[in-house]
Parts: sequence; C-alpha cells; structure tokens
Amino acid sequence: MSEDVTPLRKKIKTIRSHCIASGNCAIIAPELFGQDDEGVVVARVTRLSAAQLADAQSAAAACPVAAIVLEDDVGTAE
Amino acid sequence: MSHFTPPAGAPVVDVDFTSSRMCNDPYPVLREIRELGPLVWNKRGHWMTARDKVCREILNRPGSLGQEGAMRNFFGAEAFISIDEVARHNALRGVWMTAFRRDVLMVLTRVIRTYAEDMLETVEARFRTGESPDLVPSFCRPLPAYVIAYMMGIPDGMMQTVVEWSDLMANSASGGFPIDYDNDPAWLAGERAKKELGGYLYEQIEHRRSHRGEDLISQIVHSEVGRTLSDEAMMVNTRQLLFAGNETTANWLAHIVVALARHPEVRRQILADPSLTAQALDEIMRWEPVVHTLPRGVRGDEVVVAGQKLQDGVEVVMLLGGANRDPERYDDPERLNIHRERKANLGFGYSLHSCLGVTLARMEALEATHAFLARFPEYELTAPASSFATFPMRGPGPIHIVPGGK
Repeated sequence: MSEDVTPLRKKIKTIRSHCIASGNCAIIAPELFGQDDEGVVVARVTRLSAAQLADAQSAAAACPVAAIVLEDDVGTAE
Repeated sequence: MSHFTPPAGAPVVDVDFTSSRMCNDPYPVLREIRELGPLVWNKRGHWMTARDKVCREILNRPGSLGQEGAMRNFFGAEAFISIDEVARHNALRGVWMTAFRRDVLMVLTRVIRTYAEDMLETVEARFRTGESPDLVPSFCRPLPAYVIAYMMGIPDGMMQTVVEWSDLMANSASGGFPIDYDNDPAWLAGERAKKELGGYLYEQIEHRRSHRGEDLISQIVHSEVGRTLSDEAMMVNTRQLLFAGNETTANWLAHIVVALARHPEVRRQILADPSLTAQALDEIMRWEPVVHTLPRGVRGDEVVVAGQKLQDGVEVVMLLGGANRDPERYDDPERLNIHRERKANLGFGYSLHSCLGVTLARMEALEATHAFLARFPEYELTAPASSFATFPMRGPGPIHIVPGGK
C-alpha cells in the first residue's frame, strides 16, 4: 500500500426530498447544479474536480435545507 | 369583494378565515377543502387549494402565479419577496445570501443561546416569586426579535417598539381575503405600523451610510446593488427582512412549547436523545405550520392549475396547513410523528420565494428548545387549549405552564 498524496476527492449527493427549490445552488454554481421541472435540485456532475470543489462547498453551505452533501469519493481515482 | 365567479361545476364552499373556528382548529375544514378537489372556490371571491402537489405547482411558477395581490401590497413592490422576475429577485436577495449561509450563521449560536438563557432565567425567577408568566411575551416573542435586531444592528432599547410594529403588521391579513384595503381595520393598523417602522429604518439606513458595520443593514447599503436602489427600495427590503425574521419564528416557538406539553412522549425522547430535536421541530412545523395562507395572483389568460383554467387577476390562496397534512405526501398525516420519513414540508414555502432565513429559524428553534427543556424538562399547560389570534399567521398564546407538572 503506497501512501496517497493526492487530496481526497469529493462527490455530490443531493437529497431531493429535503429540497425546497430555493434555487440558491443554481445561482451560486450553475455549472454544478440545476433544477428540474418542479424546481428540485439536480446535480449536473457527480465527482468533483479540484477546481469545482470550492463552488460546490459554497452551494452546499447556501442550501437552506442542507439538501446538498459533499461526500468523500472513495471510488477509484481517474 | 372580488368580481370573480367560479366556472360551473367547481366545488364551492364559504370559508371565513377570520372565524374563531379557523383560528382555533382549522384542520377539519382544511381536510374538507383538500378532499373536495385540487382547487376549491371560496364564495368570498378567490380560489383555494389544500393539496401539497398543487401548492408546489403554483409556487414553482412565479411568472404566471405571482405576488400580484396581498403579498405585494403588504411588503411593497420593490421588496424582493414581491418580485417574481427571477434575475431581479436573485440580485436583491443575493445581498443577504451569504449572511444566511449555515456556516456564516454558526457564529450566532452563542448569541442565540445567551438570549434564550437570559430570558428563561427571568421566567424561572418569576415562577419562584409565585407568578405564572405568559411564555409568549417573555420568551417566544422576544427571542427572534432580539436575534434579528442584533443581526441588523438595531439597539436593544428599540426592541419593544419594533416588536409592537411587527405584531401589528403580522395582524394585517387577519380580516380575511380578498383584503378590503380601504376599510379593513386590521389592514389599516398594519399600514400605520409599517409606516412608522419604515420611518425608523430610513434613519438606520442613513446612519449606516456613514457608519458602516457588519450588520445586515450595512450589507445592503454598501452592496453593489444597494447603491443603485432608491431609499424606499432599500427600506422595504430591510423592513421585509426584519418582519420575516420576527413573526414566523415567534409563533413557531410558541407551537413548539405547546406541542411538547401536549406530547410528553416526544419531549422525553428529545431529552433522552437531543439529536432527535431537529427532526422533531420540523415535524411540529409540518403538523402546525405558522403561515397558513399564502396568496398568489394569476397573470394572464392562459394560466392553468391542476387542469383548471384560471381568470386573469384572480387570487389563489394556498392553505399550507392543509397541504402539510396531505395524505398523498405523508402517511397518517394527522398524527405528530417525529420519526416519520424526513421530507421538506411547505412551512417554509417553496421555490423562488422560499424562506431566506430558514437556517436561522431552525437554529433559533433548536437553541430555544434545548434551553427551555434544560430548565423545564417536565411541565404542563395550565389550560387545556390555548387560543390563536389569527388564522393566516397562526400561533398559540397566551401560554402558561406549571413547571414539573400539576
């Protein structure tokens, strides 16, 4: 087992049943989040690149109902 | 009275939102309306819906079902809560979006807790001297007012006056829909209070121009969009923020205190496991929401809701207490069940105009509940039922308890 020096990657999880369609995520990070016909959050990407992480974190923090969670991506690296 | 009439075949009822029946226990009527159909005509001149899905359909279409009527008249056309044009709305609301982020609000936890503990210490001291203080004016009502005023940089000495203005404003819609803007005494009293609060906020805005702070008023005054706003637009946006941060949470706290008295099993579960509190408070909001009537106005001749074409200009009043007990969304909906599957209810609204301050309100409710139960783990209400001032903005009061039970 070699030591992994790359930072842990994150992936987006949305909890659609918590969403109140405020649209905050889509305002802050439109490249990462959209809304379906009913206004409910839709993640446009799942696994985040290092460049996308800050925007995703802002969107998650701005969600009024914590419907966006950034989880450790424990899958295989690209 | 509105000049609109329902199409033939539409279910028609006559519901008086000002009746004591709707104030004290609206749920049987809300159930009846929900069961009659997706849209039910109120003989008083507007549509109603008590179904969750129909409310979401309406709230998700601010362009065609907008803040045309009561909401816009109440908050002022330039307050972002009245603006349905998405880009403009978001530019204005964006001024405060950072301030209401979860991570930014966390620093207020201690402020909220300290206010709550100080108020409850006074309440407890009054019990010791043999008094039975009403928990609404001594705890539920002032806590959110002090918190939002702290955030806005309004001095504590103004609090009582601000609370009085805010209460009169909250009462504005208590005379029924559609509102008779020229004669309804509740509406006119609210208008006077709005004017006085507005005058005070103009002074505060002017003061922040030369005394920039971290507070919410400074944030709009010195924002990019703020610099393009008229004084009136700045004021109505600030006033809407203060009002919204006041009345709703105060009534939610009152519902919580009453619900936890009537459901000691829920109270004991929270005491044993405080990690359950947040979902319990959400469930209380579903079961007993504060905002019961949310009106929208139809724009244009092509608006169809739940398969029904609606007339231009007619109002649709969403009955959130009915929607929050819609069996299509919730199992066994009349029951308070803190362990039910967590789903967003409509208590904080939905879509473009959903509550900006929901995270703050939840923090306040959580801190208030824990502080209250730390002092009063066991209590009973002195009277079996509390009364409710109005149906549209519904909360119990006065609330008197016997600590430790009778």
